Amino acid sequence: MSLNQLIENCIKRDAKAQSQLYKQYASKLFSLCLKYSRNYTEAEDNLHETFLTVFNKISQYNHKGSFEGWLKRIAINTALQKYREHVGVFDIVNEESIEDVNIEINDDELSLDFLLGIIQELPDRYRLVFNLYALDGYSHAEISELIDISVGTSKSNLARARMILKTKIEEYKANLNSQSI
Amino acid sequence: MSDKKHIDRLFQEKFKDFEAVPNEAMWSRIEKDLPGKKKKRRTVLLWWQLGGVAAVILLFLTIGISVFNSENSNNQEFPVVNTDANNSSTSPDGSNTTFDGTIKDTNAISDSGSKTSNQNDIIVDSSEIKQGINNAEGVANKKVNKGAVSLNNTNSTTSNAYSKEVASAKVVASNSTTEKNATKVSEKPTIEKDKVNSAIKETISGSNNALANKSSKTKAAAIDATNTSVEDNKLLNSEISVEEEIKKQSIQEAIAQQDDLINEKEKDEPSRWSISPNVAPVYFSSIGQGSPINEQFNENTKGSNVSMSYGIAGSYAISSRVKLRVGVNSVNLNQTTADVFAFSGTEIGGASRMARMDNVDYKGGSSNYAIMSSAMMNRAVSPELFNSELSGELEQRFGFIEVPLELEYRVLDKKFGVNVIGGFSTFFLNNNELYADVQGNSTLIGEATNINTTSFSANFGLGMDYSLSKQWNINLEPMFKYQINTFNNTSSEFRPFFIGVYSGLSFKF
Repeated sequence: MSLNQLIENCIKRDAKAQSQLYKQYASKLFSLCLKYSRNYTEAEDNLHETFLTVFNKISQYNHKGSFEGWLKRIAINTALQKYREHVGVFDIVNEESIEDVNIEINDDELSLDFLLGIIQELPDRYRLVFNLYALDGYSHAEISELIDISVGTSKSNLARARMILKTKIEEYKANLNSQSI
Repeated sequence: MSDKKHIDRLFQEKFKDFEAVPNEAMWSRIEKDLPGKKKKRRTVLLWWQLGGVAAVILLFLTIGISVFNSENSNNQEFPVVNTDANNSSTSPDGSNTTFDGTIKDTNAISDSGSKTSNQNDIIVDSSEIKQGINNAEGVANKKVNKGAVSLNNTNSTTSNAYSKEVASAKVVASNSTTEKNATKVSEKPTIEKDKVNSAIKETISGSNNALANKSSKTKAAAIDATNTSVEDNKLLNSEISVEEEIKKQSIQEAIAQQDDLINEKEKDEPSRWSISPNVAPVYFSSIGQGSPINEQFNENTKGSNVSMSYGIAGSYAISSRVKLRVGVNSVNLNQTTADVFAFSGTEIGGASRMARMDNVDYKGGSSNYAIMSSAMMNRAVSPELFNSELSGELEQRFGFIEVPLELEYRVLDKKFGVNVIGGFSTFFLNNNELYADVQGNSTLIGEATNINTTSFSANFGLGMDYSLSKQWNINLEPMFKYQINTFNNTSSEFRPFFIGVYSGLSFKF
């Protein structure tokens, strides 16, 4: 079944097509959800909502741009939506601009699980900005619109996220070394 | 030492091909929340179940009613139908019974005349007549009883030869009255049939007169001498036999007449036989969440591709509304079990013994294949290898030669007709394969050992047809076939069925 045919059948709410579409994209979207979420459970919730949105809005897909891209945007939007709902008044972040220093790090055997873990541990907005900018290629301008912050905040959040990640990686390595000694 | 890298790049590289297979239960949760979908499926299923039950009830009811009605109609419809085949067919029957009676009777008389000792025979015979008449026409009881009374009287006064002769004469007389009564009775339902009746009446009244005359003669003869009575009786017999022939003729005429009528009627009747080739998309599914392959697949999502069934059926119209039909179909079914890991290779051999399944006969007897449900693995802790590995599908294909035997009841009999269909099929297995489908590649891994070579199904359906001409019809029949005894040793609850929408052309002849 071609992708277009699959999409057509999903528009008709054909159960088999929906199942097929899920099978085809679930793992890609779930990895995205994992990155954007605090933990596994939240990622599952996001994946759940993502697919509900996908199947409800699939008729709105205009066949311009990749279908996978469209799906990913929905997944990211779902995560952002959750962030917007959760953002509290006391979620005060230091908005002062931090220099965007080049943070270099040794690429030793760092497991994906570990890296995923430290992303998930980031404060919500840092995690979103880092994911959007570093991993999914959004610009600061786009990010500022998506999560309703200024470009400056976006930049500073990104820098803080990187700092945190770097620290965690270094701690982890130090830990490993001390254990090995 | 490794190179220093920008932290973004480190993450980008690591996450470039990152894919995480979500938990197995995710899809069922999502599926449940999809609008209209799951519900629809359930209602469709419910519809089929209810529809099947309704069809069966309707079928039995209608068969019962039609059988019941046909019994009644045999009796009740006579006066209404008049001059028609049914009507005239019984009137000769009626006259036949009385007729037989007289034959027997006169024989008895002649016996008693010649031997003057077979009294018992006479009595027995006359009671037989009584019974026969009673059975044939209950209305005549009164008058026949009268005859019987007179017979009983004769019975008590049968001590000497003279009274014997008198008795036999009386018997003849009483017989003639019963005969008359019988013919009267037989007249009743056939008042319209003047021709036949008048002919019978005439001959019978003629015979009655003759009998009466003869009986008086026998009386006189008995007083004179027993020999003459014998002669008279002989004479009587011969005369009666002549009358019998006259009767026979008139009856034969009547029968010939009805035959003509029946023939005419038959010419107007629609053709009873028809033959119809048909083709149907069929969809295999099951009630209950089991798997025919192994219990570890019980929870896996299962589906079926629509496959085809072809065949030909012949039907015979038992009545204008009920048709019996038999056919031969070739039907192919399949079922896919999703989220299955399939491994192959010689190194699998040892390990796979654990995962071997009793219901699968691996190709070539080798154990180079291992299949297992991906639900068996805990995603969160399973090694990367499995997370990145795409789970595939297990496809089971099986085909049968189906021999359906079904009854069709016509609910709406117009140019556009509606039928309710019920029956059963016998299946003979002729194809049995198990494939592993991973990333679009299908590999034959063996066959299932638990499919019975002969199995059955209970069939229910609704047939719609449209007549193109007197001989040609097009039909469309959604059928539900609930399979029985198809699989041995299935895990959990696995009750398979399939649905087919049979369409075809039928030709009547």
